[in-house]
Amino acid sequence: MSVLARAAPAWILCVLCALAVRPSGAAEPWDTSAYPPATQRKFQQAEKLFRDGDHAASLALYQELAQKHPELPPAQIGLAASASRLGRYAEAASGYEAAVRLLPDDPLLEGELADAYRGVKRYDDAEAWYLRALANSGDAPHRTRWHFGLGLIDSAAGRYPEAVGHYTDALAINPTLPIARHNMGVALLRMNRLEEADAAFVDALSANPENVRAVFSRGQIAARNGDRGLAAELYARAADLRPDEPTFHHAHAQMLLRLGDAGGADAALGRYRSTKAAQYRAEGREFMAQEQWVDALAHLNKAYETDPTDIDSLTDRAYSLLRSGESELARREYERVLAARPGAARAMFHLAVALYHLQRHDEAETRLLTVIADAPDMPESYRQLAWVRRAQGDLSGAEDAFTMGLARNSKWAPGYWWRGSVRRQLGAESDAEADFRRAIQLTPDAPFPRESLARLLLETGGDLAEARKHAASAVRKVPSPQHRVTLALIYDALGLSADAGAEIERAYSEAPSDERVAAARERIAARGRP
Amino acid sequence: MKIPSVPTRAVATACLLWTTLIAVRAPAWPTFTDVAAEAGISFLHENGAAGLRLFPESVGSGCVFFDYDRDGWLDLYLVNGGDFKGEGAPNRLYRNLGDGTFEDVTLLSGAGDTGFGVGACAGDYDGDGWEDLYVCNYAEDALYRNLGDGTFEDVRHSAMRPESRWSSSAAFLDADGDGDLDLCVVTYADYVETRDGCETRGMRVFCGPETFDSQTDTLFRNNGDGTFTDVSAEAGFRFGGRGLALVCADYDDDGDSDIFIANDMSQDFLYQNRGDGRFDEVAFLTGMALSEDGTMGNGMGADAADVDNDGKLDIFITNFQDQVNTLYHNDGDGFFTDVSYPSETAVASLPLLAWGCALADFDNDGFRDIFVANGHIHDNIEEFDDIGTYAQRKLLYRNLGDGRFEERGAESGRGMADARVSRGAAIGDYDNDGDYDIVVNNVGGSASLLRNDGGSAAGWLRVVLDPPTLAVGARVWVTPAGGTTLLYEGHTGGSYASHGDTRPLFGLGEASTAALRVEWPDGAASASEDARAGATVTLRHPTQAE
Repeated sequence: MSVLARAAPAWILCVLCALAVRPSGAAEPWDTSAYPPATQRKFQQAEKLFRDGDHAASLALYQELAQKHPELPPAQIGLAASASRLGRYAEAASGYEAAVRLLPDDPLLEGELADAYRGVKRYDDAEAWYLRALANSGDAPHRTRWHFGLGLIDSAAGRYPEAVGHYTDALAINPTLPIARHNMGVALLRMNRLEEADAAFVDALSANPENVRAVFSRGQIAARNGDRGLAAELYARAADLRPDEPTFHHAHAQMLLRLGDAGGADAALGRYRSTKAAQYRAEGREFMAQEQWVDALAHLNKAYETDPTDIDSLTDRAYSLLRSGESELARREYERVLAARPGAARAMFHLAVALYHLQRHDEAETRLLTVIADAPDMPESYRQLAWVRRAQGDLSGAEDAFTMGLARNSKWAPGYWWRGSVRRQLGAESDAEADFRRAIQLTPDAPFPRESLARLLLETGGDLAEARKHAASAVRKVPSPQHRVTLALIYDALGLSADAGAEIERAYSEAPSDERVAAARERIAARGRP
Repeated sequence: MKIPSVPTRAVATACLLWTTLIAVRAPAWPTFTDVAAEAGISFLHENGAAGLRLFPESVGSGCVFFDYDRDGWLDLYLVNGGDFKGEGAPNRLYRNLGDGTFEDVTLLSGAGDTGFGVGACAGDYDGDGWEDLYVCNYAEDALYRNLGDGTFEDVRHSAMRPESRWSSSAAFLDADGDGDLDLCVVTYADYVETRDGCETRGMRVFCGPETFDSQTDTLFRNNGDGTFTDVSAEAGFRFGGRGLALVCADYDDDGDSDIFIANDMSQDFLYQNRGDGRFDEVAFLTGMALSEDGTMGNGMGADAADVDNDGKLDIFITNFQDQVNTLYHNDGDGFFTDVSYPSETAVASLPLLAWGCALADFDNDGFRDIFVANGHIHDNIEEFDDIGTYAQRKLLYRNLGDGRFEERGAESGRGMADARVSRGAAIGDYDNDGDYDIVVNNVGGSASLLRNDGGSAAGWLRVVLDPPTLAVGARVWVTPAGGTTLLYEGHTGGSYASHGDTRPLFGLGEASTAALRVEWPDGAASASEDARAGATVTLRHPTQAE
């Protein structure tokens, strides 16, 4: 399936181009010239995006066009072709269904629809549409593709003799189609017709000597024939051609074991483990990037189980556990990471975070001080140390932690902001104000120090005009209920009751159960009462 | 066009000869009828499903055929689930009345364990001649000692520190060769509910097993005084997997029991016994850890037997949908070869999700056939997969005797063809008519008792080994007159979470007599010449008085 799926876009493009370049005579159903220039431009833009390979963007545009002009085949075809390119075969099938309704008996579209059905494993429908495409296509050369598609369906269903028949038909039209020859070899191999399978793979290799799957399959045939030496040789060749493919290393290792080459087998097995783990780890990291920690864990578990020496997988697993809230398990895994990599500052830091979540503050502090000593340029260590100390009621210690970090990097804007917040809790208002101002100076666009400064000015009788400026800026950047409350209270202090009321109502609508919002709302309302 | 007459005649003659040979080699193929209701098996499995699709609800439970009252008729123990976070539904014990019906004796027997049950197996661990029961639960496992008076005593705390992690399958075996039965317990995933809650296309679905961490399995050494000690670490059980099934078999013919463990989305394990109860994990070294293409399978069930009558124990593993069930041929040189495709067992399994299984000669033609119970984990599979179905028919492969199998489940009676959501399965000749019947535990539904009709049309020979403790690991060779020698090795457990008939039943085909020989685990031998087809022969260990 995947082979054809990869090949399909070229064909789809042909269909798309064929339709797009037809003369735009008024009789043609896909004529867009009667539509407003904006619509025409969108079609051109969508086609360009498709050609440039930005299929997500072309899909979005074609979806918009198809919704607006469902009667236009290019919109439906473009939608389907883009979706197909993205592997979204269900959407592709819907698009092609609409297209074949608009352009019945077009074999190219029928074939595309069949491909899409095959993509979503609707094999009966796919088979029916392939057959229909074949019936409508006369002697067109692309018949080979539909025979090939039928072969893939039969292969997937285990109907290998029928699959061989279809591949043979495909090859009769296009004798140089190596993929059909290769797939025929696979079907023959499944049927245990080893000699014929080997011949098919040899043919496939004559067209492309680097057809690594054919090399591997020839190895399987040699193994079944008892020729272990040849099998090992072919597996080794496959592994050389595609060193990142674990399958080949696994097969090679198994054959070397049978040949009594324990050392070689051990090395091949090691390559299998590391390449397989790398595959699983890459899958896990895709989910990590989307912050889908449980899904990430599933793949990272497989990675680490495949290769228990793979500390990168273990580290990723530990991090996913930490982010998914399993602090105790994360702690244990980070201990193992550190046993393997004692100097890993990042792992040590995350271990400290896990300990902090587990309320093992003393151990967390010890670890953080170690990180700070070993890797003093990680500002998050100072911040975490501050939070550990604050959690124990040691606000001065928290202040010291930020001061340490700021001594290391005097341009650490968040450090000033956080230290200012701690200083406010300590009652050192003027020091806090200085910190907030320094943070704003360093990062003028950051809303949080501005909101903090605005609040400080409001609550300490400072300059309300300046406070209003900062608070309004914070709301513009991040219109959170907390920012709105501060602005509302400043309006209120300035006697701007209507503005205060409007702002606090916006905050209340977003966070009706927030205590600070509720209290401010009550206060503003009370002031408005006679 | 003129057709040459001689070749036509030759072809016709060859066809006739072939047909005749097939007819001679192929006794009538049996059919299977679900007689659970008429046999009085009213058991209903509960999985506690409440719409959230929490992972433990998906695994179902197993079943046990064993003769707890030693009356010569196989009784039936069915494991139940319930609410895995609360009260489990009681397991049920059915006594075989010998007339094709069963009586529910759960309350009387005291064996109705109420843990969230997954699996069970039977074995006479205390050597008193009465088969005891070990029950695998989601939480704490249970050990029921058979008191010999129709009742069982729950000795889980006095006899051992029971496995308290999620276990699935267990087997009694003499791991250290000291003459008593040790116990291997396979554990599944380390379930964490906060990780549960997977979705596909916006629908809640059961998570995959890899979502949860793997765990090591457990080996309990029998101390010889009615108690067990966990010796997993010293025995070499230090690899994490998500085990669902195990089968004990002396695959390397060195006289001790090795252990194969089928893991769900972990590499499978083959623990090779050093002979003293310490094991080496050799799955990679023997070619059994991963599928032919180097991926982890979802091992759900397993059995071991000699399917090609070459005197070596082959291994069969059931797998998930879109993976083939794997038949590993024992090459006899320490390696196994995946022969799933060459044996023609692979393709039929692709659309099905397989669990319990058995390698047994259902038509008594002298070749072991293959039974597979199927059923998806996703009750909403039809909503997001065009191929899978929740309820699925069973597979029954007829052994053609030449290394190939023919799948005939759909033509083997309604009991086999009807779609159910099956999990554990055990074989046993419950009606003592000389062919293997099958019991199947179905998730959230009634159990199936599949009576084999027609299997005993060919000759058969049953062997009872006494004492039962020494039957585990014993090897029985039967040579039908004029036929090939057949091998049976006794083991407990197997399939998925289940345990079947430990009385070997041999298909003799057309032969009316057979010679048989037993090699006991301690090396002693017993023999019987000229056993008659259709008979049950009891062979006692030389130390047992008549």
